[in-house]
Amino acid sequence: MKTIALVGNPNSGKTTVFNKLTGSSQRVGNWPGVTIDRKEGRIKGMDSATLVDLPGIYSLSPYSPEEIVSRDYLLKERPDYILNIVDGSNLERNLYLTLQLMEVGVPVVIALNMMDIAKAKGYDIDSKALGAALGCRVVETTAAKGEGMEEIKKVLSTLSKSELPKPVRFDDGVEKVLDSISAKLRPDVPEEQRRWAAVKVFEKDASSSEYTDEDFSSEIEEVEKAHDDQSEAIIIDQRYNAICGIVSNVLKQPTTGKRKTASDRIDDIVTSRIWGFPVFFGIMALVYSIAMLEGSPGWFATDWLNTYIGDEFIPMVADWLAEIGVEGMLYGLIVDGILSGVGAVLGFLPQMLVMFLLLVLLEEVGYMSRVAFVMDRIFRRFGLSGKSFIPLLVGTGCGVPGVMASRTIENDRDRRITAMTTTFMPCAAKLPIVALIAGAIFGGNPLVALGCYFGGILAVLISGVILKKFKRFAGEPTPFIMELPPYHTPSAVSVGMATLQRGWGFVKKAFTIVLLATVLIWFLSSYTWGLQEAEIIDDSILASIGNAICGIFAPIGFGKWELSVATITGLMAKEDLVGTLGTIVGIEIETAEGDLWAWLNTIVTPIGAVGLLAFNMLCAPCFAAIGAMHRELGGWKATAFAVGYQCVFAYVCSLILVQFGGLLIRTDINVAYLIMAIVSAVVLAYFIIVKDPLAIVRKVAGKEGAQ
Amino acid sequence: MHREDTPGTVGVPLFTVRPGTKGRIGRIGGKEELRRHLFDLGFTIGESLTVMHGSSGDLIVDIRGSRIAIDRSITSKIMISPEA
Repeated sequence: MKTIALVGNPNSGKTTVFNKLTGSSQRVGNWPGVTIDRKEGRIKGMDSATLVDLPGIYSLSPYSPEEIVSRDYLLKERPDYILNIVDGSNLERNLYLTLQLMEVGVPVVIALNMMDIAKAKGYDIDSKALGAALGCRVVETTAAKGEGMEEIKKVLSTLSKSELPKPVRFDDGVEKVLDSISAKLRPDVPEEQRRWAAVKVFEKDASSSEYTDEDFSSEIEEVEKAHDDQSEAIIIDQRYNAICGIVSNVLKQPTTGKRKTASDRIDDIVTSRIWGFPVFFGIMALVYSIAMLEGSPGWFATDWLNTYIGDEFIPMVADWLAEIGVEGMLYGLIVDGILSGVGAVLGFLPQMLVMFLLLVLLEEVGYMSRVAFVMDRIFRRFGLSGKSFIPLLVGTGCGVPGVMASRTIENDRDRRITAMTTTFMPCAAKLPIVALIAGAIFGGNPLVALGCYFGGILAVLISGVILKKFKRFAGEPTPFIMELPPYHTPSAVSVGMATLQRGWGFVKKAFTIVLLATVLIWFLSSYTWGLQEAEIIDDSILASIGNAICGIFAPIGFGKWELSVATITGLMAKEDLVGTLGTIVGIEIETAEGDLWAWLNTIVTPIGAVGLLAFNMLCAPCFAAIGAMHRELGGWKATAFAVGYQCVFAYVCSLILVQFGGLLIRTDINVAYLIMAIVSAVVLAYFIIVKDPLAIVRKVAGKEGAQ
Repeated sequence: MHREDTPGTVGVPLFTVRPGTKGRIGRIGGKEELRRHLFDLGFTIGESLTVMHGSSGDLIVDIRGSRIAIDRSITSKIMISPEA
């Protein structure tokens, strides 16, 4: 079995190459950091060859966590070959990584990708000369169109392990020291890694003690003095000098001077201090309007599907079941339990598809990295960096990859805060909740969804301020450095595929985790503790559990047992909240008039719906996302703290919204709850404003200790 | 290659210049890790860059053919000598 590592800069089209070669459909996007985890796949049409897609990196120096992942993989696990994806439209930057890869001691094949863009820019690249200069084979590709993939396979299957590239030579002074280091490396450093090791020792890299016990500081210092620079900077500088030499030989580019490109003209507006945020807000408002607004395509299709499922499909199946003699318990399970529950979730599929399509478009066009830059200015005031925005963006699709995307943040403290707060965003699984409440209670107003989106961002910012006051999170925000890839028109096929893939994920979840939950909920709401069939649902196990806990939710506007139980089932998957309500209504339908939407109006007031929505947006995410948080935070104690924080924060925010909101419109006023809300607001404000909110706790604890 | 070693000729902090300005990098300060990352990205001493967009130190610059967004905490540590 041969292992081939796929390495390249962010946005060089690595994942597209991976997908084309392996026939898989991993997520691609036009921003740095789409691939955060190692992905493996078998190359189609090649005997036993595994392709490993590594996160996009600029360099093998360990600056970001992704760079560490890739470097460790290449050096410690030693793939058989490296397939280096080089963006042909940006040779100079991409070749820097190539030069480092050539020192690793593994045969390198270069895929000179994005040749279509390079040609459109008027670039004429002599790939033969490039291969000769680097001592490795070069294949010209345009992965997006599938061009060059067969050639890559051909080259990979004929490559031999002894075909090592020839690393670039530095100037004589440096080479002399490298030679003397090479001679005194530990004997266990393998022959093909000695060049890499010598360079690392010269750079005074942290890893150098793995390669030698000798001290070379006087020799290195001499070179540093001659160049008046640090050894590491000398190496970097000379690599770039070598690249300039190579590029001037192999690349002929039209002398256009610095003209503003179309990308630049767009960026003039969308990244501007004045227009940047309004444009982003407008785009998101448009996205949610197209998907949710009454009369919009998304709303229209969802309304039709919901009506079809409720009025035609379920009665049709029910009639058929009755005809073939299914009755009693089984009939109840299928019709009231599964069909009502799963149907309630699936009814939102059209709106989901419209949302997915629009979000995929924004991602692939390349707008999202600009938003990160725009948001950096705002985030910085709250002690966070715009880098935190990328995970939030990913989290709008699904919290699990969102939490994982926090790995792209270099600074450990910011990474942890982001991993703890990313699930505040309204992920796809929460959208059915949003759509249900917006549709049933607020007449399909798109402001509800938009409020959830920007409310989620605001919750992250406030949490940033609060959490930064704890010692373990304190510190300056991560510096913001991000490459902005040029905008490009995504291919219809790739957008369509990505949209359908996410839609399919939604459907799959409805038929697995949601279905299982509805079976459980149906059972619990159809039987009493004595396992007798419940005559009315209020006698059921579920109702008694719900009644036991619903007191907790009364102050935040939804002290009904049905809503309390639904909120708890949201822990399995957020859609389950809708599925559970669907099942309960399916059973209750004889007593409650009309369908789920009408029923919801009878048990919750508009202000209570705000509380229900706010709490479910912010509280503990589903188990899958909690698992992801555990992986990123690295321990159950930290995870418990995070989940606890989320629940308390969600409760406090909902309490304040519901009680003060109720006060504003003068309904539902309960003095005890109002006092709770006032106290919560004061404590929240205290945590936000006071510099060291825990000082008072320490003082009290200290006094008690003294006594 | 185009090094300017004498102190005083390293120029002005990057955050003070306006979009449209072109200049050569004179010096990069800040923490070792960050400096190396900037070097890796092609911000080497003597390299020329053009400020494309931005204000108040949050800038998008063109360097070695790509667009990099950097915030004020970084642009205040890069010295450039503007070209006419």
